[in-house]
Amino acid sequence: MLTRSAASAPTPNLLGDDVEDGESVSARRAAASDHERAERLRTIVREHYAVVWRFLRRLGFEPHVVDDAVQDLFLLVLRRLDDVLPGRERAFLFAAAIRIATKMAGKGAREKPVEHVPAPPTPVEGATTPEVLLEEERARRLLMRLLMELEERQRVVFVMYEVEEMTVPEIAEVLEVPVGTVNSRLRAAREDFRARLARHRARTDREVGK
Amino acid sequence: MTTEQPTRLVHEDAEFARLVAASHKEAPPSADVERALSLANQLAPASRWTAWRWFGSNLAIGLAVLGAATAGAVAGSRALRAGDAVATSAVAPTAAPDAPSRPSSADPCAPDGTRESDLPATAEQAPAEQAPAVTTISVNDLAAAPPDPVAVGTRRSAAKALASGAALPRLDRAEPSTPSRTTFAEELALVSAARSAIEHGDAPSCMRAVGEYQERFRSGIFAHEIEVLRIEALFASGERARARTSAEQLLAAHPKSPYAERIRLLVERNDH
Repeated sequence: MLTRSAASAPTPNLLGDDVEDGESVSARRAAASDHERAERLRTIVREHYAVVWRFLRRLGFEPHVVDDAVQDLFLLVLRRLDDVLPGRERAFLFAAAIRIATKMAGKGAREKPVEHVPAPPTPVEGATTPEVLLEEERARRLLMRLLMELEERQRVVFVMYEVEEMTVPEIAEVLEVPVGTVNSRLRAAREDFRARLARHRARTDREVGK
Repeated sequence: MTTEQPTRLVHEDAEFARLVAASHKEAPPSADVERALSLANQLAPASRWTAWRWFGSNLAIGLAVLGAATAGAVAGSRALRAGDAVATSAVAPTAAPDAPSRPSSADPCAPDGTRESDLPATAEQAPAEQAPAVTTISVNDLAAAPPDPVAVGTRRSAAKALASGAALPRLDRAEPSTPSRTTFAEELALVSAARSAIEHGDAPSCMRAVGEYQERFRSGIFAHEIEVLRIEALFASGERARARTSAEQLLAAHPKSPYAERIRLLVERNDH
């Protein structure tokens, strides 16, 4: 794993290849020129900023917590760039994001199920009709509501699998729990979610039917 | 590694897929992304040429930069208000700077050394001494950072100030020997101005900022973002043909750009 990541980084090998422990790899990477590092950081920001931001939103953190947490997350990335293995950025970012946001949110700051309205959508002037925007906003709210109704630990797994489309092993890595645990939480979450979605449909149909 | 992975709901339930698709369209405040991009500048003077080439080839460029019109505007105005904050936060010592680094350094997935991340539970378990420090990191404490008199401000205030351009003179003073930092701040100011203008429906101002940017920083750090803004401004000012041509060029050059979806929407919307 270390070898692969070292190989994919365009880092001059100043320290020799013979020792492959994490420390030397890290040191070697640290020798990369500053501007390569700066570019790498920018690439990570461009590729992942919005991804992590949406991820935290979906976990139900309040918008201001999400905004702040993601900002802080990238300060952390700046600081620990060498620990962010190429190809494993998302795992690092998600794991760190969850921790930062959780600590930031503290108790009672999390969105309450159902009633909390997510941040306003981000309309692009002229890009979409107001009707479409409204429809999308409704869809987001519904998704949020359904997600918030899931038990927390199941929700995290559910969001990562069903929305972020991560694999079970990836999820296990981020959460640092066994694959089996992820599987069982996922199973429970899917069951619960489907049931809630079905209830929501039945409710909507009834209302429409009236 | 497990093999049995259930079919994802998005593939078996169109309604759920619709919800998820809508969720994918949410984007963070653009100013926040630019602020984060500016962090790279704390690492090293930017090499804009290479940066641009890299984007070009790799391109996955986070759309987020332009993503959020409303939120961006809000953040932008906050940023302006936060202008003075730079003085304090740039020098403000961060609480226990080493707290976040405490963890098992080799494990990328345990940035804080905590085990399982059961959200609220973790919060409660988190050692109290650690709690206040987690959200603040000073660049001066970063092993990776070069010796640099300019601290990245803690939390958003300083970063906001940076984005607002208010930090410009300060950066100049602090970094007399690194001209690229100066141009970076100017680049950031221009891209912020361009976006803020288009968000307020002021296409001419946006075009002016875009024009100035393209003239001065042809291959600047935000070249990609600026081009997207230019296309938006062209559409907004009714120059559809030019806008469409530019949009097509951009899409052809960077089909996988996270901005692609936005550009396609713009084109689509202006097609009739």
